[in-house]
Amino acid sequence: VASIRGRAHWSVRAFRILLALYPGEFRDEYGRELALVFADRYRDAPDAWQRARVWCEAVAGVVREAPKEHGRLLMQDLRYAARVLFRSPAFAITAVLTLALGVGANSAIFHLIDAVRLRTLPVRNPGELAEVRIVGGNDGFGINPGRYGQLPQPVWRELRAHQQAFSDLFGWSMWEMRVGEPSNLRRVTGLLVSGEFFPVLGVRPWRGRLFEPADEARECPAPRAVVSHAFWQREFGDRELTSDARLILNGETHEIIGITPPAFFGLAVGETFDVAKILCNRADVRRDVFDLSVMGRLRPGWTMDRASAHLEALSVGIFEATAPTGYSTRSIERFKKFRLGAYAASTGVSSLRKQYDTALQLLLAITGLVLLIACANLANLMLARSIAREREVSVRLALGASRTRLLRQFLAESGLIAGVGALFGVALAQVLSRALLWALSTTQSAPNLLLEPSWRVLMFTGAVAAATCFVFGAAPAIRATRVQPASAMAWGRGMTSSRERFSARRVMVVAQIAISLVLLVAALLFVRSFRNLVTFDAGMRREGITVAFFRLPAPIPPPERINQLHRQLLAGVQAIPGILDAATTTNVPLTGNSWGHGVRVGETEGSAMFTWVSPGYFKTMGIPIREGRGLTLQDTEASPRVAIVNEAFIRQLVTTGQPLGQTLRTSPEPGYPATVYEIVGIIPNTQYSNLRTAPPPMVFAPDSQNPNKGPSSAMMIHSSITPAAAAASVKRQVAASHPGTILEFMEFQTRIRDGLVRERLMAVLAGFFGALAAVLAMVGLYGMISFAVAQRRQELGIRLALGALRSQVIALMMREAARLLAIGIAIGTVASLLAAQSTATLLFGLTPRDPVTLIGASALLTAIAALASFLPARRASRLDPVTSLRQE
Amino acid sequence: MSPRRAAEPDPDSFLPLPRDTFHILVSLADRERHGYSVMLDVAERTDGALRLSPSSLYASIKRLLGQGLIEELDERPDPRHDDQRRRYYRLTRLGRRVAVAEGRRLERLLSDARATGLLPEEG
Repeated sequence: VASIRGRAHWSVRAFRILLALYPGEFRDEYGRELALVFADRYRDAPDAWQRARVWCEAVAGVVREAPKEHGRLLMQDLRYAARVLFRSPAFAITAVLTLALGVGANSAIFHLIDAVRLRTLPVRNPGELAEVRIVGGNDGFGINPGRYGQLPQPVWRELRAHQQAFSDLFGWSMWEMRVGEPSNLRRVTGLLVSGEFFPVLGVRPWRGRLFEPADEARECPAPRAVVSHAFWQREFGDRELTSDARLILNGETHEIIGITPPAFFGLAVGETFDVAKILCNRADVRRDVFDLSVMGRLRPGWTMDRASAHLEALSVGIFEATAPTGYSTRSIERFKKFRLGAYAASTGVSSLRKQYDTALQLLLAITGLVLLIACANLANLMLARSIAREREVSVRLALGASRTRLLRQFLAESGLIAGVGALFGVALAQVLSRALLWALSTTQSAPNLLLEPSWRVLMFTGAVAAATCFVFGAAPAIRATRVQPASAMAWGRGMTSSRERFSARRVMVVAQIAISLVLLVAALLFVRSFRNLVTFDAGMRREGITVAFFRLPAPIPPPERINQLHRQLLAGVQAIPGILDAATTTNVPLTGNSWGHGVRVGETEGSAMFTWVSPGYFKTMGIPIREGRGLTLQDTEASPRVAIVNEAFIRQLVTTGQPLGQTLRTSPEPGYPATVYEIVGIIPNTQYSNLRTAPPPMVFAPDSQNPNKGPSSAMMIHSSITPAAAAASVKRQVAASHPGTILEFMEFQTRIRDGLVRERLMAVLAGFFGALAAVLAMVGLYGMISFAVAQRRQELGIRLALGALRSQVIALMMREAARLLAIGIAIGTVASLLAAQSTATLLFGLTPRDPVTLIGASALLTAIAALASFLPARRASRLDPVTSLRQE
Repeated sequence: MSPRRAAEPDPDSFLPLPRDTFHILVSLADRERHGYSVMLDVAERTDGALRLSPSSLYASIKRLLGQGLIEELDERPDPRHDDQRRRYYRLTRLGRRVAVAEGRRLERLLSDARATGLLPEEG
């Protein structure tokens, strides 16, 4: 150990290296002493064992104490930063609020994205879940009710019997059901589940018991139901579940056997269920109704690819065995070519996802850009402050403070602002995300989403805040600490580096203008798109229309009687005072539903949407007959089949000759044999299932000739009285003439508006953020020109003293703004054109690169910029030359 | 009111002292010492039960300096060790008052413990 005296012993050198863990200040102050003490102890240790102990203790001590020193220093920096910020509360409050808003908006949107698509289902091991679907979908084959139907029931049963890929498999579907007495029916959401559903998902009953495989083997349909916790609370309050708990479901009394736990909402994210029934194992089930969703848990060791390959191999046999009858040979061949595949399902299914994915991602991008503009503003403010603080910095440098120390202090300031801003932002996000959810609600439904903060949301917010802090804090901090100590001696204005720093502010203003333009373009696109949709002429009457859904009471009358009853109901409704017209239809337009058949006109084949209506339909809906005739009471079941088609039908399917008098032949489907209709009339194109998609070929045929009449139908009622009054009168009238008939009403216009909730959301939010961006850019430009005026006070004073006109001074200052604006708009235009394509799927009635929108946004921004620079420029022109010169 | 010395903080406001801190103050009570000397003294008085690591020692010293309980003297070599120059520390007036106050506090605690019979009477 003698070598300790001469060249340092290796252990001391190693210890010195270890001291690098300490902050520089501490090391400078105590590093030598620490090493000395260590060397003393090491030397005094009597043996190798003790020396090892000394070494270990020293290392442990450094590892323990160094982070504490860093912490102390950080607290010291933060305290100093807090004091500095308290001295300029206006700046601090502006900065914190700006960030809170920016971070809050981002976090709120991410919150929603998290809830809609990232969160896994609240079931046991959701990661193991996989869904079985037809690869590429069934392309509209057969009947596709509900949002989550993928497979027909026979396919599911074959699959369950033969597959090896899943250790457990279950089928489920979602249906609208009705509970209560006929006089007081309420719509509820029902689940039909196979016996494996609850056990495989690992859902434990809250009360009673849930369905199990044995339930499927019992009588069918089974008079038993499981209800959700929320439904139980709503219907039965705090009552305990007893064996005599009953529920009238779709007109039949059911025993309630159990209640699901509060957290379980089913498998459809954003929705919830009220009642679950066991899936009935009926031999006569239709083979062309794709109503089931099939999910399961993969066997250990099976990948999604292996499962898909297995399912594909099984597909031929399954679809061969379950092929429906009553279709054309071609259709059946199509059915037999379907192939099954396995898809990850840990996050469940969600119609919200399909509907809002693009919208939410765009909104996240938009709020991200707004935050960027806000950061640019803050960076500008910080730069302005750093110029104002040059003297403080140079004095401290001259007094021996290290640059890293100063840098850290500046970063502590921005870190403090970002941190406090993020905290407020997180709180704000809770409110904003709930407001967003509320904005997604319609008169029909509200999304049922769990909006509790997850680690993903917190990480996201933290990352946003850190990035924010870096963006607005780093540049000013680095620049501020580049000050030369010597400049501390140069009292007065005219610091050497202010010109350069000023150009950094210019870059930021240009960036702000460019980003604002992108956001304004987006805002205008969405607002105009929404306006287009709201004012869009769907080709039919929308105001004053009430839709009544009715269902004749059981027992279901024979088909010929059904038509008669419908006619009687219609006549009764038409006779009510205040009701101008009424007509029945098998399909209500603009509500998302559709019904199509394959057709052939001459040699041309295709498909068309079919609606069977009563004769008054076109008059009720205000649809003119372009050519030929409308439908009349003379078109009966006995008379030749006739059809009215729309112009899209003529364009796509009638390729030769005069359309009137030509015939169309439908392909056979179960319940709908191949039929030949004569085209007797033509109507203009009207929107079909929604406002957005182009009208498909459409066929309207008389309800009397509907081959598959059912007890349910819809009635479109045009009234001069309010929809509510019309509904009440109709209800009274029908109750008197046809007691037991189930009636439900909706306001046509309201329902159409409900379908525009996404567009409304985009318009409102993009509009809001666009406006916010414009305001922020305006503040940025205003601040920069004001600052320039303050910097050039002396020069401007001299100019004015030498006889410059006020208008010349204004022009001088505004020229600068105009140059920045021009560059910003040029960059923004290019960026808008590049980014525009992402909005394409959400727009209606205008293209993403709509020139009018682009020009409009540029003009708006120019006007704003002119105002923002005129105000400080005018102030410059009013400088008193004497005062401004004397100030020097 | 008689004029008092420029606002010296109340010694009681530092109490109770962390264990390491009190030991360091005690070892500086009789004379000024450098870091290693403090460490040796503490180890000796506690029969090796309290072994300060260099890191924790200097963390305490830094804090005590900041609180004004000790002060730094010029660097000079310690003839008993080697010829390296070392930094010496000594108690300030305030440091002494704080150490005394802490000692009193412990004394009271001890006599309370004796009065309740928890500890045997001194004898």
